[in-house]
Amino acid sequence: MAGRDAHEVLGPEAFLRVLPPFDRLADDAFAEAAAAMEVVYVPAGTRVLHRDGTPSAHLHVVRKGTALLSRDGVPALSVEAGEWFGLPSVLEDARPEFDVDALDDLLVYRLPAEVVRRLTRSPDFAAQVTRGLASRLRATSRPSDVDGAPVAAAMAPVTTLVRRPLVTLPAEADVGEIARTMRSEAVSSVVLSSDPPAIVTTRDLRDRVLAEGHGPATPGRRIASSPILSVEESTSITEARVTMLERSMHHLGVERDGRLVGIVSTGDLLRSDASSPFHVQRELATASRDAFPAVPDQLHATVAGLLSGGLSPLEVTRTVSMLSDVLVRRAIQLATEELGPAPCAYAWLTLGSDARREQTLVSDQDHALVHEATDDAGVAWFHALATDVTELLATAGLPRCPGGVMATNWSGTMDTWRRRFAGWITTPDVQALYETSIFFDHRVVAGSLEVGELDEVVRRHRGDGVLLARLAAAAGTSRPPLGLFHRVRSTADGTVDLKAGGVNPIIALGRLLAFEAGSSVRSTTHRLEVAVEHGGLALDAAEELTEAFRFFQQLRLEAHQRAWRQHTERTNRIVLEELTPTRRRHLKEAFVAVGRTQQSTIQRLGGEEVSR
Amino acid sequence: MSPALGHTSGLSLGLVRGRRLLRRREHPHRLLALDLETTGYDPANAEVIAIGTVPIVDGAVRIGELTTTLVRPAVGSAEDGISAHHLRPSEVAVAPPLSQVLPVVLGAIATADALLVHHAPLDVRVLRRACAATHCAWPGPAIIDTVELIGRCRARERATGSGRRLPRDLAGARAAFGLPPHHAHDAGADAVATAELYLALRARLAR
Repeated sequence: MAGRDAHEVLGPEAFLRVLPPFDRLADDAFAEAAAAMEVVYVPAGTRVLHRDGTPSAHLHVVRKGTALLSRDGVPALSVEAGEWFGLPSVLEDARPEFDVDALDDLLVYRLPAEVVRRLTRSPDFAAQVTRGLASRLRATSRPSDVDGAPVAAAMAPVTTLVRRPLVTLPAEADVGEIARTMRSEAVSSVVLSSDPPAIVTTRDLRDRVLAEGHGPATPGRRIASSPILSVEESTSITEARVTMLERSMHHLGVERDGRLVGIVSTGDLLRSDASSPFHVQRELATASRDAFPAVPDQLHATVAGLLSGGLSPLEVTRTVSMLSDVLVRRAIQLATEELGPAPCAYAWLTLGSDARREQTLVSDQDHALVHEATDDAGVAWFHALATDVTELLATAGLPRCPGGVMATNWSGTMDTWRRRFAGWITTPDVQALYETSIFFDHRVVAGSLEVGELDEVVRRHRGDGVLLARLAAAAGTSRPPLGLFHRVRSTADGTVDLKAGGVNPIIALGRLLAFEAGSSVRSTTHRLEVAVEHGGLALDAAEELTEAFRFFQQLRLEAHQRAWRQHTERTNRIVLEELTPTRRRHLKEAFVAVGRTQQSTIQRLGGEEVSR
Repeated sequence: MSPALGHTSGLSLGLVRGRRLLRRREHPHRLLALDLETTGYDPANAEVIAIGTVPIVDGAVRIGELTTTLVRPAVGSAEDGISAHHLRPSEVAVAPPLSQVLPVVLGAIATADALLVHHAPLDVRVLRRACAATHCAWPGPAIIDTVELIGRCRARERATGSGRRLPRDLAGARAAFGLPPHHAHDAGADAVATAELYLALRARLAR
């Protein structure tokens, strides 16, 4: 019994006493609740409440087992130990909104409806009870969400931030008129009614007018930006934030039915959420060397905020990758301040998970340098840059790559890199396959050198069946930990490696299928989409893998957060017993889905032959 | 094979009443779960030092009606047994004597359709001896023993060759059902634990 509750010996009354919000009750109010409490045992398969049936006579607090709330046979929410059901029905004396069934045997502590209604006279208690429920129910409307993670204000649609109608001026307005309108309306942007509409921001007035020496008679359209980056009004605030961060935009259009209805600024977003990644981004972009050791704390706080805000795990990892880009750029900036300007153009490549924008906070440094041809002094400059940046990133909590895949070891001209790529592709050995898996996934984070050629080298070999078969075999090197009857196999200490057994096989499949399709997209979920379009993967398989990927990443992020809070080692291993029964089931299904597609894809591409 | 069925003095009961009683024993409406803490496991000498009871009405354990009563042993010594129950001799020394506690407990037993005990032979013998010593009448309730129900489960599992053997001890059997751990050797907690285990056993035997 490794479960958290297993060590706490609590009788019914004591259990209820420490359970929020009952812990908020005054002693006399709690005594009344305890006096009316009953314990019942509900055998698996029993329907406890009927949707639209008689109002629930009790609030049911689950002590053991899992109850399932469903509507028209569609599961909406599972209720497990320490959670309850029947509350809205009890509070309103209304017909239940869900059918509630016992998935397995339940031990239930129940409180009579009239007692619960009396308890809600305590304002502290009432606030707690209703908030917890509302957020959980909202979570059920997002089927992609795993186990109903708490959903807070961050999931509210972006349109809630639009507090005023659009401030517009005719397309021919000049800069002086625009500036006066901004002052009188107290806004930081004005929309010109051109077709398509264009936007002028206070930043444009500074950078494109004043700094360029232009006057107030300058036509507005000359400095305006168009089209305006926009999202649909139903987009969540958090998604809107990610969109803006990614494009480094400070204003975002909000559209209703394709028509612009409002503008949201970074300021609006900041006000909406004080723990926003914007703060961190800004601080990272200007951080001094001394500030680097504080970075891990900042990043973990941000991720905690995003996760508890209900952001999907894939959006969280995208945000982490983006913040880590900012960090790398700042490190390069700081290094360059000491080393002097670069001797020639270069590209700083990030590799692996960061290149795919799937970075968690437990990632090693993986990077490389491509530069133009230069002399010995130039090569020395790049080595010094790599050394300093690696050092700075290590200070910021990103461990050096144990395999040495870092710009300190992996640097060279475009010619060198082309030869390397060609070599890995044509050399049939394990090491070469390993290198392809790392270096195929690259992305330029800093520098101006074009490296698109490297993808071309890869793409030229896409018709190479032997290479495809070798890559397919490589995609089978790590498999989901499944045993007989699809039981999840855990190690002696009861743990399962989510990365090795779940994430890595999906990533390898994505890379393989994107290669087959001749696509150079990086994100695993995009690669799966591309594979579907190209015919390499069935749509349902792609959807399964995407959901599995999302689920594994969610579990990893949560485990990392927990370890960070508890100051324990952050690993990708989770203790099976500590998962709720629902999640354990999800985990099994996800592993099974991965194993199935892995098997069939490797077979289709001849990977089995190669590995023999 | 409930030993209680042997008590039916059929002649004095009307047929209807007899049937109702029988049905009640199979599906009792009101049960009293009881746990005794004693100074030892020898029913001939063990002294009661605590009694816990909790009623089960229509399958619901009434936590609000849980009682836990300490009892002052007649023989003032027996400290070994007392310390095993995390009770201090001084706590027990100020407790009411059995002659005061027992009538209340017997009254509660009399209002129930059956008495529920984990491993009944020991506790029932101790109670009956206590009745004799205090000149109280034993109400002769129907008795349901969770150990006996565990035996029925085991027999069934043996017959079908399924699963792991259900342990006979209270904590072990509860764990096998996934019921939460409880404070053993606290008469009230043990009574609730027995009541919950009974509900779980009943559900399994009904399958």
